Amino acid sequence: MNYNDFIAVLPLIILAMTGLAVMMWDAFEKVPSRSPLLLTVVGGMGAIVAAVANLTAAPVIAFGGLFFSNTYTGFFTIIFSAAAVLSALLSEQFLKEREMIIGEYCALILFSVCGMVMMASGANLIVTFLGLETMSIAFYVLAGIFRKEESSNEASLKYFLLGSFATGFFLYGIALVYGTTGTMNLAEIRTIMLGLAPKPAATYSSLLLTLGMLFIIVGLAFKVSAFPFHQWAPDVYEGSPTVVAGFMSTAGKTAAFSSFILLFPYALLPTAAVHLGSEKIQIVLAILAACSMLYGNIVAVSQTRIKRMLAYSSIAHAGYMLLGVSALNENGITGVAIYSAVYILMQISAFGIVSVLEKSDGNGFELEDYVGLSKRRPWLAFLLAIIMLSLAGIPPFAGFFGKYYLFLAAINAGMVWLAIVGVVSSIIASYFYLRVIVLMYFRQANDQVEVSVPEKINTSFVAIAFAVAALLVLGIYPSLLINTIGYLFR
Amino acid sequence: MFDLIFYIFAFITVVGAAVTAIHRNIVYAAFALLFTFVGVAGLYVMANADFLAVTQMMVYVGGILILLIFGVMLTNRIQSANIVVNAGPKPVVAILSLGLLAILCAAFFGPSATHSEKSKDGKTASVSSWSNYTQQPWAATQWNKDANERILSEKFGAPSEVKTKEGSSGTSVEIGKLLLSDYLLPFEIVSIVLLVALIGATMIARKEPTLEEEALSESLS
Repeated sequence: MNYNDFIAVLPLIILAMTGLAVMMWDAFEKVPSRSPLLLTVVGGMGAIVAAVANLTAAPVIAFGGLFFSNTYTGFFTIIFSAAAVLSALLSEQFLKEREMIIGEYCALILFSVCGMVMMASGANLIVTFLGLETMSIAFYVLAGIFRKEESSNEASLKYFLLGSFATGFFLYGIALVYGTTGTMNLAEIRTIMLGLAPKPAATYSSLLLTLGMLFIIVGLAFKVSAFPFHQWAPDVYEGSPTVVAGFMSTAGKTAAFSSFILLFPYALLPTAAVHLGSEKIQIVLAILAACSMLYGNIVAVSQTRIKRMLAYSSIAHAGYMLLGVSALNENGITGVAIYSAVYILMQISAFGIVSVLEKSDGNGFELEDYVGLSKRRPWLAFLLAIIMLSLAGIPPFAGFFGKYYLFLAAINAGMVWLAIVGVVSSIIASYFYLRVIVLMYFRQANDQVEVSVPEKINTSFVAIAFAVAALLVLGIYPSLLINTIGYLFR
Repeated sequence: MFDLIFYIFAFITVVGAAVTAIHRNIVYAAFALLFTFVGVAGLYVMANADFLAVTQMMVYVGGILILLIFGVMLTNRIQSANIVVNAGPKPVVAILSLGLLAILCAAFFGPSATHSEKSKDGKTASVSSWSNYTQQPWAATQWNKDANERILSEKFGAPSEVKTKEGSSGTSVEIGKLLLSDYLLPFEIVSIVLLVALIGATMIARKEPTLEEEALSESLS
């Protein structure tokens, strides 16, 4: 390990060390306090700074071909750490009201971000797999952190059992890819797939390789909850604590997409691939994307609980990003990167508002509870309205530009039908997003007295307001993000 | 002879796995799992993966299985529990699993598994991947040597003194060297994975202190 290697993994080291520091702090502290959350925020910020430093450095493959450090990994490291910071801020009030364990919560959030960074930067399938495991194990536990609540335990167990099964598929896929190509190094797989390096003649079997890719797709599609592998998502997101659900459904999903991009458009299916089945795999990805978009949005229409609605709509959002992956071109990669950043801002703050409004006895999730919210909590209603408009993809907000790039990528890849499916499903989606706004602003609650509650300026409110401000700025000046990303991924 | 031993171990593995999946008594299922683990360990030995075989015996047979049986022993009434395998409508399950089997068989035996490609010295070699697996142990096949050489070659910054010796007696030495040189990063990452698992396990298994216990510990401190 030399100096360059050290710099390349510095964000990872900072996150892991902060996680350890949180555990130590928690062990020696007499009176439980909120300092672990502060440490998490500091650690996340530190990782962001280290990742920004990496962005400007020359791209390297550290540790002898195991770990990418370039602008792509830097970008994803920044958004994952930002998601951790946002959820730490959002959980302050939430955890305090429910008297939950803070130390382990923070440590697990930090370690799961470690796993995500590994997934986004793994240059070797071993590192990708270990990252996926680190993230998943942390999530299984985080989902069950409400130990006294049955729904939380159920969510954790369900996620654990199904998730381990999906991990098995992923691992089998890795084994088949290694068996046919003879290497787990992504850069080497890429050269083999491009036909620049000789295939290992004895064992190269195009059917086995295709099978391996399909298994990897199954594993990752489970993690992003794309259509046929989505059954766990609504139950898990509904059962786990709201702040955790927000973190899992954003950072966890985008992490899986960051390695989706590394595995498919980069390594296994580069554009000029000579592998025979590559078009078939692209079609498989496209069908998964189309089904997830339609299914998620159509089922979300009939939901009456807001957490479940957000869970189903997150399946649809996974579909949008999968569309960018299946395009297998540069626009698609840029689109997924933009949408990842925007999606994290939108969805974390949406779950954040739900967590502020829910009551500690587990009520307050029905859409009916949002009737007349504009009178009771005018500021929160305003922020939620902006988030819903952005989730629906209405132009002045950032969600629109993310979708625009993804659909453009599909059209460039010659899959106009996929773009049409995407647009149609976005129109369906706007129904249930706008319904929330209608309920909040244009419906009167009959049985209760409308009293406006002044907004307390706590960390949750600051985090939500920050995320919404970022959505507005990125929506009005989309060139800010797009130019940066264009510069990064050149 | 080699083939015969291979098939014996393969048979033990598959039958053990089938009994584990099908048997309704959990104790029998646990013991059938023992045969699967031992069979897999035998297959590892046949593949010249001696380190993996020993690990398999120690971790799975010696650790996990014993834990499982202890778990069965210490859990009340689980012995008499009737495990009902209900994975959905039977025709669907049958079609899915047979389809997977057919695809895997096609991948191994089928026409696309046979290749005629130019090997390095210009000769045309037509090899079926299946015949390659049965004729020789994996470690001796060409791609495996290639892969080893590639992994150990200079371009990945590997220390040049690490070399695979022809007919070397074991893999543990090489694995140890690789773990602390080329694969240092995964080796370190595994410690984070284990730490997360440890924290998670303690968090889930920990007893929530009741109010009286809390008061007691406060009065003591």
